[in-house]
Amino acid sequence: MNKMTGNGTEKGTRHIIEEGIRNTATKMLESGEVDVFIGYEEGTLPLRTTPAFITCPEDATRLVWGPACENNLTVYLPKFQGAVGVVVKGCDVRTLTNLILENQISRDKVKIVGVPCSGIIDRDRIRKVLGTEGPIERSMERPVRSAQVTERSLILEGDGFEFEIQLEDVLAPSCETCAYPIPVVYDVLIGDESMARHAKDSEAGYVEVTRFAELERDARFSYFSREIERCIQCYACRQACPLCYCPECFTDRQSPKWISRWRGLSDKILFHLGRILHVAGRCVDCGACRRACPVGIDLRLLTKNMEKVVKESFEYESGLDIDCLPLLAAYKREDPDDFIL
Amino acid sequence: MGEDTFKGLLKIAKEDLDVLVDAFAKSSYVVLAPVAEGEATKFGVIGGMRIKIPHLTTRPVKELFFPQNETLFSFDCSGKADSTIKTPDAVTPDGVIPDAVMPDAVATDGISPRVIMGVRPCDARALVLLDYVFASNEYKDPYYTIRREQTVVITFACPRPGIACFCASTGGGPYDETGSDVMFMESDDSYLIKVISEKGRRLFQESLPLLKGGCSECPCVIFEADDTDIRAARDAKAASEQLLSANCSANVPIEAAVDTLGRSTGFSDPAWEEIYRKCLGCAVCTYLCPTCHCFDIGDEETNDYGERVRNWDSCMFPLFTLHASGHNPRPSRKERFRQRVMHKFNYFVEANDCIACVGCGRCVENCPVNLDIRQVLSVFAGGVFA
Amino acid sequence: MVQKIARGLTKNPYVPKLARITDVTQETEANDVKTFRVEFCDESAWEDFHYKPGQFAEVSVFGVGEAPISITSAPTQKGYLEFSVKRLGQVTNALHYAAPGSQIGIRGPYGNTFPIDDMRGKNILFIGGGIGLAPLRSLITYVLSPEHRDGFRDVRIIYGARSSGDLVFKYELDAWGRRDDVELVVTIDHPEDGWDGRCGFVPAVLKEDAPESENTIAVTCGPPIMIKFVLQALTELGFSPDQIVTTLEMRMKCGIGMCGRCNIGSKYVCRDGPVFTFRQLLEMPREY
Ligand SMILES: Cc1cc2nc3c(=O)[nH]c(=O)nc-3n(C[C@H](O)[C@H](O)[C@H](O)COP(=O)(O)OP(=O)(O)OC[C@H]3O[C@@H](n4cnc5c(N)ncnc54)[C@H](O)[C@@H]3O)c2cc1C
Ligand code: SF4
Ligand code: SF4
Ligand code: SF4
Ligand code: SF4
Ligand code: SF4
Ligand code: FES
Repeated sequence: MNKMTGNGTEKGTRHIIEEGIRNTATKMLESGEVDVFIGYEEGTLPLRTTPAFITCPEDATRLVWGPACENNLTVYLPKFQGAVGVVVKGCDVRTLTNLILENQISRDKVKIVGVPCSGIIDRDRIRKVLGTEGPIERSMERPVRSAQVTERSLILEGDGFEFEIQLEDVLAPSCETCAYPIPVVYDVLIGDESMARHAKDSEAGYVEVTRFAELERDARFSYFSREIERCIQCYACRQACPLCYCPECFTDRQSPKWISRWRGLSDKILFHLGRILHVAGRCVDCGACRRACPVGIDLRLLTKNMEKVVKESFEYESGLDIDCLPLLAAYKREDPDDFIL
Repeated sequence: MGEDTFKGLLKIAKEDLDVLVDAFAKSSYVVLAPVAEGEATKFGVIGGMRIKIPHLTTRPVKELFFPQNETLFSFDCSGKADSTIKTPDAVTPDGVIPDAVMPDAVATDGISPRVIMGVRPCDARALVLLDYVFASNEYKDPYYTIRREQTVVITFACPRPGIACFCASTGGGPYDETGSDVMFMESDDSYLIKVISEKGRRLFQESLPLLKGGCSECPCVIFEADDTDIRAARDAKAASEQLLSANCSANVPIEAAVDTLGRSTGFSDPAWEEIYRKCLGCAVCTYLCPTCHCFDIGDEETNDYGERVRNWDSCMFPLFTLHASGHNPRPSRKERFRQRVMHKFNYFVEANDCIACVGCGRCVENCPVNLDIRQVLSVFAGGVFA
Repeated sequence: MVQKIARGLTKNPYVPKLARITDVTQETEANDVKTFRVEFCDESAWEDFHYKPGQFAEVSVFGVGEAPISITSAPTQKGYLEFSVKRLGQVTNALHYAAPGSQIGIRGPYGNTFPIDDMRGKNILFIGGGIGLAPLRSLITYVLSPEHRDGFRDVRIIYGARSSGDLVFKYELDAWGRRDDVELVVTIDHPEDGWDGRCGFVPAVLKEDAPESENTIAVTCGPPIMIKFVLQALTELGFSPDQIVTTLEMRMKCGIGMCGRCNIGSKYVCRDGPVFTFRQLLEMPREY
């Protein structure tokens, strides 16, 4: 119904990658290397894919690839039973690296199928380009009924309209400034490195948070609290994050009860600060938390800033190295301590 | 919905909507309508703003009746004095209950009557389902019931159902009147107005003396619809229903699914083993669902002042069923996902003879992993989702 | 002006009645179970508090919360209620800290009752384990009360706990044991110095004693594992699923069928239970 894949006329990179993923899955399942292969398949709404757990080789043809492959599939890996193959983008593999470093899955249980990433789309941005409120398929004026993805653009279709948007204009914010679009670790790399987006310098991603940091304290706090106030405490952001795997999250503790679901702003702030501290030095800006949020809270304000702090203080970027100690487990004499009160 | 859907309709030009809203406000109703809150939309007091009705609000209208957080009563817990229990005696329009003394009961007095504009038929229908839970048993939830009694629901029929909508499969439809006191139907530059219930009639009688022909107090913006209007409305309804049924994902084989789930094998169907796998257990689908009604009760205490509060809860959370002993009858996401689906399409049916889903599609759209309830139902119906 | 809805008061099921703890009994050696005797602060509260054995109440500790607790006293005992509480979490801990005189809240009674009418004229076999004796005790007291004893035939009680220190209601056990119209068996899991009673798990003792199933209703309550084996043993002894009655536990909040958490299939344990026959259990999903 909605074609996420190349439009079929030319053999674009997307098509090549999609075929590569299918072939790899087939091979891995046939050889018994993996019990389950996790990738993406066609979703039920325009510009949506959905995680697919493939167990027989014949089903590998369900797998797709395209700029709507937004989910970070490594969220399914902690405590996964059996051998698993998983499709990862440049950012996803960095959460996986963390999971391996933190002993949530052993390296030999997971076959990493890396994809040179050209970025995923952000539905909020599409909505803004369309000028609608609410999800694109719920636009009052122009509800989108289907979408096609070409090499460089999206073609949205509805009743009596067709609308073309350049992919570059609606990329997810993390993708726009992504420094590692080619997975840093993999067992198989689909296609080749030239198929990925051009990598940006890490600093490019900090422009926004830097600008925010320069605002007056009051302005910062009022923006922050206005955003957090809207939080409905569903904790979908936590559930979507591959690194939030604690068997009992501090938010769920009953005694002592750290966080109440009562309507206070302070509890909500505490939740968000607690969560961000727990992913400090681990978060890779994959954006899964932000995408999961049903009320569109600007969570990247926190994640990106934390990433910047970590980089500036420890010259550390999360998830790049599979043979190091996790940042929080490593101590160096020259580590700065000026934030310790 | 028979032929008389279109009898005795009134008509108002779209641009006059705000005049009508003013008239409601003047006759002491508080008017609520969709408002934007950051990236999301919800219902709130509009207070002078122009009304803009979105396709469907992000957050359902249920929260005006069953707010996410609510004080049930307050008390002194210093241990020095004897506890005095105070229940709130009034409910403000947006659902917040101020403090006041009213032991052991909630007064049905002193609550401003409200009008909610721009509810969609699916959300209005959901209120009737919530009535089964909160207002139809041996015990009645006074907080919910009072808000229901004091609210006039003005539904706006849907001219262009979206592709996540599947209301018609659940027994409703884009022009379904269930749960509505008044229905507005779009027709070119106007709305045709159908007054459905006694509450709706009272609202119009009070707000619009001109309905009886006297135009002295209000500007004359409401007219009786003529045959042309009615024809246009009828065509719009047919077009909308056609649009919905032309979208194959909107035709969900719910009856067949309900039948499968209702058999003795429904609970242990092998499909459960696979179907939940991508679920993240995030509860978005339940928090935004207009029919989900699970809640938690707890105490909040500061400086010897305590409140017994209730907050939304969700069967998707592990804590929901965790016993103090550590035993959990629904230990994994599989059981919890099954509970959500079984509750809506089997348990609720057994208790109330109807499903607890109105096909609004919010869970379809907002699930971070696109775990589509329509697909789940199709699997149980033995088919493949289109 | 809009016509206001007719003035009236709606009974608020969430508001507890104030009550005072008048007596606290330490039940177990580990002191993890205490029995609280409770009286309503306002005598008139009794007017709409009529309970039967099997029902429970939501007990409030203000500032901490509420917990569902079986009423372990019997309606034949006028003027007070009794609750036996095992210390496990927030509310139950707070209760354990409460001394006589402390104020608590009670709302209820909730849930269904033991099928007393179906039991009349029959032998009754009580099988309890640990704190599971609490809900049974209400029915035992009722059945043994002078007003009602004639309505029932032979009464047999099999009660067990992990050790002698874990037995609850010892004073009551003594009293029941002294009666000649009650056959009481008390057992502990393993032999102990100074214990001259029976040893062994409850289901094993039950099988050894093999009570007659004819015209008998068995009522059982205890830890899930005990219940599981008791049900097996009773079935072997020829009890049909209709002759076996048990009470279930699920996490609860509202107690009145609204908060949606205590369901097993389409049954709400707070409203349709907590008392179920084995026949009903067989028809319910295994999710408890
Ligand atoms: C019908 C019924 C009768 C009961 N009778 C007794 C009794 O006579 N004596 C006794 O000691 N215990 C009884 N229990 C169990 C008792 O309710 C729990 O141990 C108690 O709720 C734990 O509460 P907490 O606040 O101390 O624990 P926390 O872990 O702090 O629990 C938080 C909340 O969760 C709920 N909850 C947690 N566990 C349970 C549970 N097992 N059952 C129901 N709700 C739970 C309660 O609302 C509780 O307040 C009964 C349970 C039920 C359902
Ligand atoms: S916190 Fe958000 S951006 Fe960071 S790793 Fe987790 S999901 Fe990704
Ligand atoms: S997903 Fe959004 S609304 Fe839900 S807890 Fe996270 S920030 Fe709050
Ligand atoms: S289950 Fe989904 S479609 Fe049905 S009423 Fe709830 S949110 Fe809407
Ligand atoms: S589900 Fe039906 S009633 Fe609800 S918004 Fe869609 S078309 Fe309207
Ligand atoms: S929204 Fe989706 S992922 Fe989240 S709990 Fe519901 S079904 Fe699971
Ligand atoms: S305890 Fe709330 S529904 Fe049973």
